Amino acid sequence: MNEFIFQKQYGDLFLPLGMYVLRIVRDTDAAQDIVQSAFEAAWLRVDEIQNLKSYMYRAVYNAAIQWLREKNKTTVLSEEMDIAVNDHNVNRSERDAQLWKAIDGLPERCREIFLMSKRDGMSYGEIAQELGISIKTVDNQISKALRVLRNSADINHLRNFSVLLSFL
Amino acid sequence: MEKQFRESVDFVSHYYRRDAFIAHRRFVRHTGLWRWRGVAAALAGCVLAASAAFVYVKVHEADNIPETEVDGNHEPTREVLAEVKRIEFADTPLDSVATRIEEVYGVKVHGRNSTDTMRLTLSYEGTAQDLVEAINLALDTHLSISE
Repeated sequence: MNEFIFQKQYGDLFLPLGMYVLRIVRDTDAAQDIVQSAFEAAWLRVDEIQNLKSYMYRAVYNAAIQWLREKNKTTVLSEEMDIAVNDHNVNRSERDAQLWKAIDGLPERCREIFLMSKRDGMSYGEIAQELGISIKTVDNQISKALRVLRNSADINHLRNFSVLLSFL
Repeated sequence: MEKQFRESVDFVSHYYRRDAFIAHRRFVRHTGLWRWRGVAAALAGCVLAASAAFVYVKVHEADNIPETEVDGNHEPTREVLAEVKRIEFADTPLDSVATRIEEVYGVKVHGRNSTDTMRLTLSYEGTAQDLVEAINLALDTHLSISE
């Protein structure tokens, strides 16, 4: 594999792989380190790898399971957790990545309000009081954020659908 | 679909951090994306040659040896040969690479081809002459520099 192609795919795959690993380890810092280490290991074998995407999903899956074992956290794995390397989970990781990027791209204030609600679990009233704004403004900002996120998810769904169509 | 969307929104929102999962810069800085084995050997040779040239220049500075024209106007001066600078490229198109070399080293790059589609990722410290020679070796280009 050409080194330039590897570099490009590293940029494209880092976030989706991160999302995939995050669903397993439930730790952002650990997920980053696992994905980064997996890429560094893959870099040393770049000439042997034909399909980097497929290789990396399997590599990070193994690394994530190993991380759980080392942290004695394998009990968190359960049958309900759908974490196998399959099309469904790869697509889900790509959807998660699109949403992550969409949150990144939100206006700062909008993102702050959205995360206060979704991440911190604050009510609209609590957010309004904290920021000194009206509940209506909070509602508008969160609605705006969800519209942006939904658009990004729809784009990702269309992209996957068009890829599927091209194989028919 | 809606259920999947909401589930993903809840999941991503829960773990989102502004400074997390930043890919490109970290990988290049960490591993040094400059692993062409043959080019590494050539660079080592270029560094040795540049060091020898630098010593030669310094030794003969007092003798006021005139510059020699070798290939039209493309022969760089001793100062251009000797100037060591740091320069970085990140997935940079070749045409922009040449422009960047001109800006950083204060030289003129010849042999550019605007149809080149190649890109360069590199963190480099050395002279413009060595850099251009290494790029020519790695990417089969025919760049040259002049003052």
